Amino acid sequence: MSPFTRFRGRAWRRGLQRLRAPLAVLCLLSTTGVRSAQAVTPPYSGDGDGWRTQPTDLVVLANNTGLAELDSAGLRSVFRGERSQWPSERRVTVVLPSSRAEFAGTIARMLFKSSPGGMQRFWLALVFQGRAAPPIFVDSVEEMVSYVRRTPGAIALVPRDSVSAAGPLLVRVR
Amino acid sequence: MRAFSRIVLAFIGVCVSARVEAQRPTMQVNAFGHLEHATVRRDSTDGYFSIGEHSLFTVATISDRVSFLGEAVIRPVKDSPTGFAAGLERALVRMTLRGNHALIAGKVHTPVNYWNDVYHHGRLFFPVIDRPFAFSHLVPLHTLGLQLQGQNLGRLRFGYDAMVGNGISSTDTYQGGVSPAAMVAVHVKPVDGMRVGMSLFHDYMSANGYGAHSGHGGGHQHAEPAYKGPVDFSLASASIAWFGRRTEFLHELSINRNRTDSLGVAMNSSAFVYMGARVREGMVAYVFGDHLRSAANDLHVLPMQKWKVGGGLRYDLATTVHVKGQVEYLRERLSHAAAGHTMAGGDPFMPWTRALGLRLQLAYGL
Repeated sequence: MSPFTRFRGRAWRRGLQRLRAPLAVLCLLSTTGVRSAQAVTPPYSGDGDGWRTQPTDLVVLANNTGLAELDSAGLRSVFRGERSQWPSERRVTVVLPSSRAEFAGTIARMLFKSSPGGMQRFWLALVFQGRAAPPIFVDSVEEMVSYVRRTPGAIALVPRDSVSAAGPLLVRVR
Repeated sequence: MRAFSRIVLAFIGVCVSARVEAQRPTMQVNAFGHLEHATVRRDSTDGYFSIGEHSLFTVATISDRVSFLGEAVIRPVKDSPTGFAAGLERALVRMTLRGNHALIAGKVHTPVNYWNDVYHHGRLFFPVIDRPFAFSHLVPLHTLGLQLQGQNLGRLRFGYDAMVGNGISSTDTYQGGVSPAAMVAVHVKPVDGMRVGMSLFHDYMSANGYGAHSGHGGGHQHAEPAYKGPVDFSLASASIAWFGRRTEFLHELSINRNRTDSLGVAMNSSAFVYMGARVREGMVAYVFGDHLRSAANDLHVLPMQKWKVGGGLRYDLATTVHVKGQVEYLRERLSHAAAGHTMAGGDPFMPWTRALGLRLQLAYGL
């Protein structure tokens, strides 16, 4: 090892030793910051990885799918038109909020990483290709719940506090 | 006994209502269209408005397994007395076999590459103003027949399409000979927004011609080709598409081999490249390049060379309305046969021509 390398190695070690305390404080602060950010995240504000917070904020309603639970990746693929039939052999009917619905922006960000308009265009393109059955766009949570309740194979994502009496329609998300 | 019969009747009632609910057909109608203004400098400079294709699109779910899709298009046609012609672009019945596997019967957009499968008439979804050259000259746009389709299978979201049907020279009601056109296509979607695919298409035409399933313009539009003999048509295509939040990319490659009895094998090729970047929400700046070359001995596509480069801006005015502004430079060299001229001897090609265009397009849908 050349004297220069030895000198550089020692300098690095010395520098790291000096930085150890500030780095530890920084790590602690950043961890605390992440935790508090998760705690104050407003309901339904999933964005990218915010999808993981979905089970606590939104619930999945589905009618006669033959599934008691879904994982989050599977759920996302259903809402993106990648599944056409349930294990119960019912056709998958996706129920989505129209751009007039209050929480349309939240669901569009969570599932499509886009705006409500982007979500609508995504589905329009998919249906135009002939590769998926058209989804149902409705204006309110009440309409979503009502549609799922009366349509076997329908699935919707709605705010938890709006479906107190959904009972058997609820699907657990892993 | 009475209680038992009530239970049985109630059960039958529930079963019947569930069946009726499940089989209640639903229908959705969409429409697409576009308007354009072009200023083109060739020998002289021309500026004009034009009305484009207007498509009425219907999807109906008939039962849990069966659905219908229909698409009728009205497009401007020079030779029509009204200036327009209507056509049935798609009419298909789709039956889900199991999971994401389906059997499709009817007239479809031949899924040989990304553009024809995903966009076709939907100008609202086009990343640029025009289709690539290949769509006027090489790609068999429609096939009428049977198709087996699978999609979103496994972690890579593998998809396949296999079909047989009436080929390039056929009509929607008749095809000469007993050899159907056949196609196999596969694709994967490894991440959201990306699709990579390839396909093989083969059609043996007992008599050279351009039927209902060939291109919407260019070489395929000649009603009476000079060569009437058989053509063995093969097409290999590959596509890479990436449409992300910030960047977009599309590459379409086609290689066509036509064998005729009189002039042997002719090899043709085309390539289209598009790159876009989202400069702000709802606004994409883009550039593209397009090239087509057909061989001097080709008797179906007919000899020609075309280059086009351009760039533009796409802006969303609303969810289903956007405007595109595009500057493009075209350089082409057609053969006399491709231009519809007759000639006796001499150079089969006409001189190179150039055109500079500024185009604006308003595309809409609902």
